[in-house]
Amino acid sequence: MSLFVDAFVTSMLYAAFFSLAALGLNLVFGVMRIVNLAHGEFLVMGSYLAIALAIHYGFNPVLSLAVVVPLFFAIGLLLYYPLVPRLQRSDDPEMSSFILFFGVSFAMEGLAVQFFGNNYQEMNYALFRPLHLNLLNSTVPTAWVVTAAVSVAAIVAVYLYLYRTGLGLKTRALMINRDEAMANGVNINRVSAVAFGFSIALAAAAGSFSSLISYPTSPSIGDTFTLISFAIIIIGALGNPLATVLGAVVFAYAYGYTDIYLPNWSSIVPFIILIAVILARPQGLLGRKAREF
Amino acid sequence: MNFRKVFLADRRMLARDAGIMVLPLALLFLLGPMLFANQGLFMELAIYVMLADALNIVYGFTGYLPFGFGVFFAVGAYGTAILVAFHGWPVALAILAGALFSALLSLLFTPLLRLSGAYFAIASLAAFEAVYLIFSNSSLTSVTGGPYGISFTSVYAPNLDYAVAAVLAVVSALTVLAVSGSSFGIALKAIREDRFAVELAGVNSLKYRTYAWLISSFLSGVAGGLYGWYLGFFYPEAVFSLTDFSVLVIVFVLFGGRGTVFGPLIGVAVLFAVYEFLTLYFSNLVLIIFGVLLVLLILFIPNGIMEQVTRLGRLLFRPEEGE
Repeated sequence: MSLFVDAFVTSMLYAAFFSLAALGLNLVFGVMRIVNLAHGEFLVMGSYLAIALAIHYGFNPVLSLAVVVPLFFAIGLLLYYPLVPRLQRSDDPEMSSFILFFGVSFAMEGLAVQFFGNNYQEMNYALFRPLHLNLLNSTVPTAWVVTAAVSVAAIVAVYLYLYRTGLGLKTRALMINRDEAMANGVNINRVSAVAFGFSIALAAAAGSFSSLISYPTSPSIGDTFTLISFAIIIIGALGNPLATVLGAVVFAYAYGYTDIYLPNWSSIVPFIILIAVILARPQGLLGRKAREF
Repeated sequence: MNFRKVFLADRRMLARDAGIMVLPLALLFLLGPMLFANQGLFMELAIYVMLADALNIVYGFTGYLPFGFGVFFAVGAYGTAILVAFHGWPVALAILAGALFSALLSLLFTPLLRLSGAYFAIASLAAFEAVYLIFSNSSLTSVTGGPYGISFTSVYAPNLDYAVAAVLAVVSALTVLAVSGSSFGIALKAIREDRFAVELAGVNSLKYRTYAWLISSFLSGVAGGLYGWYLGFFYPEAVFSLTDFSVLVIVFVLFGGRGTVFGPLIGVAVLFAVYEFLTLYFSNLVLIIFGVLLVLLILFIPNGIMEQVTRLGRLLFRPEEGE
């Protein structure tokens, strides 16, 4: 029974972290209708930066967010202008983006191998004292609780941005109907660039904690994060950032419980759910219609 | 489909194209191993020609990009290996059966064809991952060899394997030519251009896409079986490599020109040479260079170099036709 409770608590913390990991991907898809297959690589880069800051300056990952988030926001802005507007003029932006960002992820993985080598790196657990906390009658690492708390804070921040600011209103307008938003004077490039910047910054923020709660950081782990993020946002609803949270909850609990009862098969579960959801309800659990035929 | 008039294109042109296609390929496969003394390289080339043709049938002609397309290749390789290693089948039969497994798997995945664009691409990626995790699962070691790989070196015959692969690579190129010129191929291309119009014209687009999907997966399965046989022993990662047998093939096809008959062949020939050269001399930069190449390709020549070549040829030789 206590195993069951432990899995419940752990999965809850996982769900918070994976919401953060996938949130940016969904924001980009919702606003620009493009698929950022390099999402996981940005996460990995953020992770490397946070680990480097921890090793060389003793930064706690929460503190390093002050460096990671603005830096990756700027990188996102810089990448937006040469890539995305040109992409959106092509015949089929959705498919073209798929391939283009695969190229980006390829190049980033290559760069990561060049700079950081193929070895695994991990954030030091001991940066958090006490090492363990008691949460709902089960003992969990403090690092996980902090990760989950930061994730929830970031999600709330995105919610506030989308629903309480002028630019957020324009972003939502773009998500609902691109042409009408443009006709009403929304500056598509500016709104999209900011959303893209946020997306990259969110990925990097998740990366700052990823080696604490999920996989250790290595150049090749980016693909895994991209795939998991995809599974999550499709289960939730593609193009609806806040539905990401529901997708992450479904993913985390399915993963958490199979990991306990059928450990050999746990990694396959997200893909099975993904395929099942895509076939039964391609618009996601919270989405409106998406399938054409 | 009107079976009495399957080939809509001019037969003389088809024969000419077949000649243009078969001759250089045959010469390459015959003389290549002699000139470079590296049969393995040309084996891979033959495999990539088959895979590029298989991808062209589904991506080039119907516009559907199965990102995890390499799953059929891997299942073909595994089907062959399992049947030979654990059940003692003769190789030829095992390769055929492996390819049929791939086709069966593709039938299992046909519901995915109802999806559009990105959904389809992501779903096929997820399917790839799921199948990989099943084949490499340690719980199934007695059935698939699990993470420890599978060996069937007793039937190892690289020369024969190479010859078969070379012939089948040429056959697959001719298959694409035949499909392209047939009413079937024209239906597929029409689906790519405008599915709604095709449906309104009374063509069952789902049926045609399913056929293309079956042909493509069967061909990939054959390529996988031949490749597995050539390896003799492999780990799951060797055949379930998303980079090697999905992404590279997509890049080859895109570079040459998807939906064209010659494009994928040119893409394979040029980029495979570049890839091998880079791997040999700048192995640590391959990922970066190929990544950047892919980005530039999609941004600047999204329809592939075939289109540019045709335009150039028209300007040079038949200026009166113009643009």
